[in-house]
Amino acid sequence: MGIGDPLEISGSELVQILRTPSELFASGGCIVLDCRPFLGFSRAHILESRNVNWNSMLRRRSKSSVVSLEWLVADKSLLAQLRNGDFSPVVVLDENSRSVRDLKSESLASLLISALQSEVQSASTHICFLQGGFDGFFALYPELCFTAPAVLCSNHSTLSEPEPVMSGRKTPLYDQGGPVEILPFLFLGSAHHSSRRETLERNGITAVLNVSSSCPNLFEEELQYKTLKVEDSLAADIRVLFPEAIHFIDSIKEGGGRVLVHCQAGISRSATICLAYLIHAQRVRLDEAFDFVKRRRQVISPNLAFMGQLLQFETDVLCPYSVLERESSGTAF
Amino acid sequence: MTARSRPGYFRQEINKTIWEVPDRYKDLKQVGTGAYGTVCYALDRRTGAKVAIKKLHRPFQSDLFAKRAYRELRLLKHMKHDNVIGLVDVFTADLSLDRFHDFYLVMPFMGTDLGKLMKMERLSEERVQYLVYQMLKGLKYIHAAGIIHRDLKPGNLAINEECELKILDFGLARQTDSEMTGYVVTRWYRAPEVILSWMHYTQTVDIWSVGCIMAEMLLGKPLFKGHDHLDQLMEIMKVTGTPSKEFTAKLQSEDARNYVTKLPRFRKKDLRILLPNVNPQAIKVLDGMLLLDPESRITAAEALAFPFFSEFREPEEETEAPPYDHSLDEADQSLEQWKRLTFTEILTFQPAPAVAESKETAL
Repeated sequence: MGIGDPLEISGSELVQILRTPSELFASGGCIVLDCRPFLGFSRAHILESRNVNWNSMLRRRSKSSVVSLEWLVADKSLLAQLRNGDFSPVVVLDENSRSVRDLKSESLASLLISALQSEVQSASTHICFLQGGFDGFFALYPELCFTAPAVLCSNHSTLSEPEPVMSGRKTPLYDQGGPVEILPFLFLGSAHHSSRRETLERNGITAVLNVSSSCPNLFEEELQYKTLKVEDSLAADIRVLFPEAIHFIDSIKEGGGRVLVHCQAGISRSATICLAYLIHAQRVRLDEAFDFVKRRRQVISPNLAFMGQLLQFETDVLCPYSVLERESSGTAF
Repeated sequence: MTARSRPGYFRQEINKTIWEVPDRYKDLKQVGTGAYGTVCYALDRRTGAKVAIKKLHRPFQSDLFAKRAYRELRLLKHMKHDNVIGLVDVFTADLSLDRFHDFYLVMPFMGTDLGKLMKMERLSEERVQYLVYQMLKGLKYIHAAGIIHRDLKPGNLAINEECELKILDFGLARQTDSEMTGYVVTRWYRAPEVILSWMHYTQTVDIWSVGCIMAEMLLGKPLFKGHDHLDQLMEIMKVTGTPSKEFTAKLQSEDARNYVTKLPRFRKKDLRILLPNVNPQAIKVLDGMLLLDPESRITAAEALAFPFFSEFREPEEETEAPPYDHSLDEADQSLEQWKRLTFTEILTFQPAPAVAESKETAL
């Protein structure tokens, strides 16, 4: 056999090797091959070291075939360099074994050493084994190791948490700030906002425009309500409701009041009504109105059919007027 | 009230919740919680394996919750594949149907998920090959059963110590229109036809998601990072190009068609420019996945045959699940009927026979 038993080296000897400039090596330099499981390697490993390829599929194959270096080193160019003897020393390490004698014959480190002994062509290649493994090295020389951000390494549920549930216990982040003022008399928000008396009072809301199919009107004795039942779906015709909604908002405005427009989540239906109102009252294009509202309530996202209906509404509102008037009304904000 | 534990079970309070668990499991520690349940890490004394035990949150509080609980249990029982999460065990401490109110799902514990992994460091091309290969193997299995995941994303792809991948949280709780359209959910991996709310999806919605995930693994950042679903659609079209007339004609909603028709024109972008220094074989895979028209996308089974995966391919492991009977999930049943069906499913659970294998994976 061209290559003898692995030479055991200590952590401090590895540090010396790692700190030696690569020009001083007769070979192409040192390579460190890490036999620890993939996830452990991802969390922390010696700088410039390479993880050995291993998984349950290869483990099954290894029961009926001699383990080839090709299996363990997936990177083709690295594999070729190893076989050619371009690296010396080749340092093998595992989790924490103190000695080569401690290795079980079926351990990955043993399989790797055997494969290297069989396949590396050059007699001048030295195979080394790191005493104490990665754990021992990291304890003494953490500055020579890469470490992934600590938070991400803690054990977390592998069953991902469900998506935010609107009826869940916690208030969604975008609703914690309260309804947003679109115009001095016009506010946009969600069912959450419409259900809290103190939120309504704080914003001086005197009327509520409920654009949903199931949200209750909770303060009928104190506030003026209008309900427009519509589903948030591509099949729903929300445009037929625009005149009624606009009329209601205008009547509240003329009476010196303030109206909250809401649906379930304040994302699609209520946003659509506010956009329609801006197009009508301010004579602006849909994309201008959209940007204006989005800057105030970032979460708005009318469904595509509602956007199509708003485009049609824009055409109906703006086309009868001259270009000059459109431009002047565009500066209304 | 301190009732006596069922023989062979022990009781433990974990974060103000009472867990009643067989003696088989020890070292319980909470690792996650959400609207539908709580998850604990535990050790299985019988196999030595790490497991995740999920306790559903009041599964029988309503017809809808009971139906969801039943569906989740049935789907998990159906899945027997290395790359799909399945059941190690399911149990209830309740001795009879009339006292039945809680049950627990036991699954393999995985070390992390792909989302967290991608934040640790950039994955090598070999790792990308192996991980995507496993995703596709798992999807081929699921799709053969007639099940669509619908919400594949890095957080739903669990990864263990040795880079083994399992697909999680599939086929659960089909969301309504409004839940899918614009509400705040991770949408970077959702297919354009989901954003456009076609009424009927095909399995290739999941292939689109795999394409987005694979591109992200290679790029180091999400490929389509829209901040709402309209912006998401624009980001997609900047790459796929503006939809053709034939595609737009398939949109069922006239208003949606109207909106899409008025969008700015985009030419299809060459993925080789978006993903420089990436293996051309990987680009070929992405080209087959990231197509606007779902009918043109490759299937999971077709993708497995691409040269990019040849290094890791084991065709004999690329199995298909038996068909899954959806009609049982879709039926309208009373709360009591869902409860009875769930109880029966628990009693008829058969653990996987390969005990030696599970011990092996515990290493």
